[in-house]
Amino acid sequence: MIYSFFRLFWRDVTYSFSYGKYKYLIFLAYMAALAYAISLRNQSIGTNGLDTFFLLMRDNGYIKTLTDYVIPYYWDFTQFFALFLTADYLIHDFRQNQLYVLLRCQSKRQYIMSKIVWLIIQNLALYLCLFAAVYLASGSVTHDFSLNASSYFHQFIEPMMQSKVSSGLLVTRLLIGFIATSTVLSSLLLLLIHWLQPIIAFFCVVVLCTLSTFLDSKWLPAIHSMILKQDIFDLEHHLTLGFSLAYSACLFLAVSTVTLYICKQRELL
Amino acid sequence: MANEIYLKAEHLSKTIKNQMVLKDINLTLARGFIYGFRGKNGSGKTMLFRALSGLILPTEGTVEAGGITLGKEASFPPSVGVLIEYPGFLNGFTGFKNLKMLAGIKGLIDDEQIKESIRLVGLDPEDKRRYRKYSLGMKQRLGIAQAIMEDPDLIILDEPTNALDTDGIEELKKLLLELKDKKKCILIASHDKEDLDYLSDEIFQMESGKIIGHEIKEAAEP
Repeated sequence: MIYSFFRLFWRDVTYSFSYGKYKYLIFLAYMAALAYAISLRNQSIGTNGLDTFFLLMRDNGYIKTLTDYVIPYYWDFTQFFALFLTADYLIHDFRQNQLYVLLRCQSKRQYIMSKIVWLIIQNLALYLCLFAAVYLASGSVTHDFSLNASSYFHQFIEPMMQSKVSSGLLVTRLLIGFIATSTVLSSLLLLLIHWLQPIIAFFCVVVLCTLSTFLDSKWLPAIHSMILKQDIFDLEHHLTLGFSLAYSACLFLAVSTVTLYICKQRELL
Repeated sequence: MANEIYLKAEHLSKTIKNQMVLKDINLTLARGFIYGFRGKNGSGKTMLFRALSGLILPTEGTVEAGGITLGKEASFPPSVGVLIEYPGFLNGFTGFKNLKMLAGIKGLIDDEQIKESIRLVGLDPEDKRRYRKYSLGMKQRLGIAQAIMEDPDLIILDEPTNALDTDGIEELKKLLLELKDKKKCILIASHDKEDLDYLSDEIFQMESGKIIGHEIKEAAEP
């Protein structure tokens, strides 16, 4: 059973990569280009790859008054594109291959379990590649490939912190937040496409993601990828890494369990 | 020797959104026979095929395949190959690589067996052309190859002659007759009366989700 699950999962990995490789490439190339531009702009003030990653992926923080609201374009773009890549593969695979894969694996549970595990691996790999792309693009401008705190970090980022962490830990938390958020949102997408039209399901998840940019509730899944809302930069709201991870894991497990149950009952019309 | 009954549908009905798409279907289908299903678009042929492969569950009645009641003892028939709409073959892969990816799910057959199934449908397994370069007929042939490659006991083909040229249809007929000799239970839906008449041992006429006619050819009693 484990071997047959692994074969299904491996098919998801290879098929999704082959199906979406150009889209992944466009995403990474675009983000690398943005990182390159940001690094060029900040070259004189001593940024390195870690700072560029932070500048690219940071959010808009807590909104005190509505007039302070600034759309976090890069944050939004990253979330939406990551979701799009997941949705694109899931919808294609459900429409075109579900029948042929299910009749071969003979188990709806294994089929969906494979998709659930794929969601985790896909988001993990995507953000690690994204980090590598940004880090390399930035390093190619600044010629600084070190993982140490830069002068920019000491001068501009550290003073913003309410709880001091190293630049490495800051980027690690940023990455963990994005991976957790995208995995939870993808699992919601996987659930919703069994009920709604795929485009409406995608739109619903995008709206849920966007809500975090102007609402401060820590129960919203996307808020956990917003580094400026974490306790590092804002102690007042008590949004800790521990809470973010535990909440995201619980939400993911709950949504995935419902998805498994729904899919076992579902027919292929 | 009497042919073994492989697929049985008893009082099979299916209702979707208050519309009855299959109405009281009774079928007893044996190995070593080809069964043709004829009917206009929307007559219920594809829906029946989905029910017989376990993809939809009956609202009433039962489907039994290989001695297993679908939806109770198992979700799907134990050994089935289907062609219902095109599979999502990857444009950037060759035909062989596409089939290998699907075959990897079961892990039952090796490369040589995949290549043999490609040869059987008249394609070249060593063809380096990507799937995107395939003609519609070649795509259809590859779809048929994926349905037969794992040597299933039950073969369900929905409009297998679509997009095939005259040679392709002749090759398909030859292949299906060979599979019939190997005691496979074969179900085909087609608009083409001539092809269906030539191949089928029994023909079922469908309309509005019901079997309204049943024709048995001579020497085709299971």
